[in-house]
Amino acid sequence: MTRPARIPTLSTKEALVLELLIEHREMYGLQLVSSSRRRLKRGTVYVTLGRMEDKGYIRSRLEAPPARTGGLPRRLYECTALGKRVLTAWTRVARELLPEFAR
Amino acid sequence: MTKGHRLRQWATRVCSAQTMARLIDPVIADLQHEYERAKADRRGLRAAIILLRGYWAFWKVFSLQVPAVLLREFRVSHRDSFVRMAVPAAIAMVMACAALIVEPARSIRQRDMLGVWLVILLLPQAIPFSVPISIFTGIAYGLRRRPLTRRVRRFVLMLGLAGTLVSASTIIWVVPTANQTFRTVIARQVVIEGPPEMSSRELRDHALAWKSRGQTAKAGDLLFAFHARWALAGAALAFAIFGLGVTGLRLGRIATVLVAATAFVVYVTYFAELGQARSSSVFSHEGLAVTFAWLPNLLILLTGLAFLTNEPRRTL
Repeated sequence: MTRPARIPTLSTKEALVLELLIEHREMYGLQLVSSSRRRLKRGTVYVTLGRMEDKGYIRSRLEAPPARTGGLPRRLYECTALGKRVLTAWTRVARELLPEFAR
Repeated sequence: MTKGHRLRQWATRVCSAQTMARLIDPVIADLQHEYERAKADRRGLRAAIILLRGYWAFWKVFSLQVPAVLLREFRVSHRDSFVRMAVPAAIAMVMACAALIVEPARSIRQRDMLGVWLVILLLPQAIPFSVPISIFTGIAYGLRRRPLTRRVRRFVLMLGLAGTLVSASTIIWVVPTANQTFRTVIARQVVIEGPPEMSSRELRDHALAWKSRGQTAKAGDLLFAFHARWALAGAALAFAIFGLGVTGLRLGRIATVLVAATAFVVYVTYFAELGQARSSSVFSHEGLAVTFAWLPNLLILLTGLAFLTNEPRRTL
């Protein structure tokens, strides 16, 4: 017997990250923190992003290293097609369930 | 040199390449970019604040997230070793706690006062002794005859630090309150706090007060109690390194358990005996109080390091 496929899960923070990435297309970790109005924290945002990358909801790439300063290149994050589908499904389910829980 | 360069160099020694790429590098890159931008705009104060916030974020990630990531990586790459470590560690934890609680619990029972929650009040005092021995048993037993790769050493170090954090939190926030509640319940009246019931700050303040009054013996007693707490908190790290050293001795199962049991008995007896010596004013000199409190940790740490570095002596 084949095992049933795992249902993709999405936490509130992950949903927020996906919403921001869909809105802005590509963002740095710190941009996500500042756009989230304190709902994402500097100390935890990269753990969330790493987990989401493992799940396949987002992908990342390194930007070109800064020429003058010799610092580290920043990582840019982008939503994947799977991420968009999961967010759409999650939003639809949440919208349908909310009235049920509101009673 | 760019900001955060040294921190990154140091972090590469502890973290895996994946952890560096996913967690550490983005934090440092953010710090560098924000700082450079503020500097280019000639906003000195803003640049200084950015630096502080960046370093704070780094340490937050490093202390809270990296241990969990390392644990996950180790669990995936050394699955069998992880199970071999977790089971003996859990057994050692339960047995050590039981051994430390059984005597006071028996004395309470003689007074027909045994209640589950009274035993729960005794538990916090047992934890700082049980955590190091549990970590030691887990490492010495679980990593027996396993190659001590860099990842394994890194994991052991993190485990020791995590144990230290657990012990320190218990000692600082739980033990004094639990002790005082226990004494009040047993005596059925409000009891004046003794050294084990005082917070660390109170212990230090009282010690300094006695010292300023020329009562060096009393000051020494309290200083010993103060330093013994921190030494107990740090014992988890010392025992973790000792455990790593013992794996190199290639002992059998029974021998490993015997070493763990002996280490536990010696460590507990040492602090119990010195607890009695305190009332006979042995620590009239401040230095003696500090030395006696930290001596076991130092010896355990040095023995562990000696086992680790002395390759020819690895077959016993």
